[in-house]
Amino acid sequence: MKICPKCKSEIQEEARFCLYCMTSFEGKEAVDEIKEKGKHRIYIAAAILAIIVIALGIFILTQGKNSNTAENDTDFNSSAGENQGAYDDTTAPNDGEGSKPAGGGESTPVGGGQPIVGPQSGSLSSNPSGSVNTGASSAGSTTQSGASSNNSTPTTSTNSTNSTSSAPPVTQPKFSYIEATIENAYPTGHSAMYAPENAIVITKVNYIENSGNYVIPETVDGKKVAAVMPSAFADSSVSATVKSVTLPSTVRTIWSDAFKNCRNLTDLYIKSTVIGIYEDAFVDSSNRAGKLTIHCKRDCRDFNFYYYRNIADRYDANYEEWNG
Amino acid sequence: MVKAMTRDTYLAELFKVYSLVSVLSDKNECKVLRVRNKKSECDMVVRSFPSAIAAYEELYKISSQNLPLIYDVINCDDGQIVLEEFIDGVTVSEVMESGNYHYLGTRRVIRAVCNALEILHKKKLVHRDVKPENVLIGRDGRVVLIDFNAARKISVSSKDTVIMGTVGYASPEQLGVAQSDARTDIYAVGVLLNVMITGKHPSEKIAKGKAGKIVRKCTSVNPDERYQSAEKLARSL
Repeated sequence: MKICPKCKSEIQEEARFCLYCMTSFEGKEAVDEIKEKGKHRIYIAAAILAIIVIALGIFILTQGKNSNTAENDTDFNSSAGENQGAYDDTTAPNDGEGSKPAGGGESTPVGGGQPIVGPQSGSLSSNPSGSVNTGASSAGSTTQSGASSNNSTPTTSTNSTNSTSSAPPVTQPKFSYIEATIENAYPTGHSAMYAPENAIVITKVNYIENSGNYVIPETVDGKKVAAVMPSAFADSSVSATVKSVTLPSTVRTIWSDAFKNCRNLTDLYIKSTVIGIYEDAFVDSSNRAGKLTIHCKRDCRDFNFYYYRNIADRYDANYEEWNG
Repeated sequence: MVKAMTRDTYLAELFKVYSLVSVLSDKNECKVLRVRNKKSECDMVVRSFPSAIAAYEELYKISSQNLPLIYDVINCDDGQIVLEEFIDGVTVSEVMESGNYHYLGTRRVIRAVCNALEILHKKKLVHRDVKPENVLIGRDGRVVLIDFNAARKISVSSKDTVIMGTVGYASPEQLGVAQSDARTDIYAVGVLLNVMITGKHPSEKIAKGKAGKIVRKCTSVNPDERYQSAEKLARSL
């Protein structure tokens, strides 16, 4: 037996790692990554710098002689600057976005914060300009602009989940949604992920289910449902009726306030594909009519993304095994 | 250690300090457990194998962004126990349940996988089981190649005797045609690349454009026609 130098626990003679305090006793060789990216960057930065210097040189030289040519040269100069920006965008679309949502859900990192609630109505098909996959930094703003443009074109109606036909004008589609982006489909910090193709996030539930058992389908208008956005069920006429909600396996994230005002919600059925439930997703137990039960697979209770692990404590909720 | 130690006695010791969070996998006598330190609440992965896997001893010595840290490798009388860093994340295959990857995401993941493989290959190791289930995306965006159960040392011996790896991702030589080497992994990366973009095996549907070209080169039946190193593959992306 030997003694761990850090925690003074007795450990096995040949152990290279203390089981008690999880300290390693031997150093590791940090291995180099494929250098391509860094090298490239230096070269390109040097090239851009050289261009700027040359351009500046020409500018200074010609300015004295001829004021007309000087104007052209400044143009050239500024375009070199733009190139640099463009390069940064394409090579490192997600760098610096890996911040964890520390502590409570109230801290939202700037780049990948919680998405802004979408439009009040309207469907994606009426928004051909909506674009995804432009990289994480710009995706957030895409969400917002998509939302506002959606607002202006209210209803192309769809009654049931899969029909995309231009059906007779019914009041509203069952679900309002916006296109899924990396920001709104996945929990904050999943910077290696890209928006799922042909997917949407539910921003609002527009119908009333008399039984109170709301089932979100896997697809709406043929597009996969990736997340439940803030205030999706918050509409006063809807929220009062919500007793149980079943989410499909395509859903990854349940955002804060997703079930805002749903005081009667007692049963939530989720699949283990959900990787994030945010703080404040539900009504606090003191304001809730009954006890909340989360029906899910056993393994996903330990799947401690974000507040998953603590959600039962936070809302005084039960877990029940569900493999449906 | 003087006295004989079995995997069970080691685990019994370990569970005095750790609690079991979940069994990540349990097949062919290979157990993978996620455990939590009762005091610090930090998680760790414990792998238990009936026979020693040399790759872990090699991995123990290094640290890389794209490989899991190996805390310790314990050789027992009836096999080996590996203590490994727990990485909080989802696998590429889980991500793909909600759709295919975008080209940019694919490139990022494949580059990271190539980086991990390049390190392994330099250590004369072949992973031999590169597939979506074995590529983990950490919650901080770190891309990590995991599961070295099928990994082995590159040797100049004859053909592979035991068929290892996953059907579909295994290269022809892995299925007994010839001996596997670094280019075996290149084949699997080609399949992975294609699956991430198209959702299908290259035999069913091949990616369009440049990606398709890379996939074809990676999955050539003749290893000499593939990319000859993971680094070359990474650079072509």
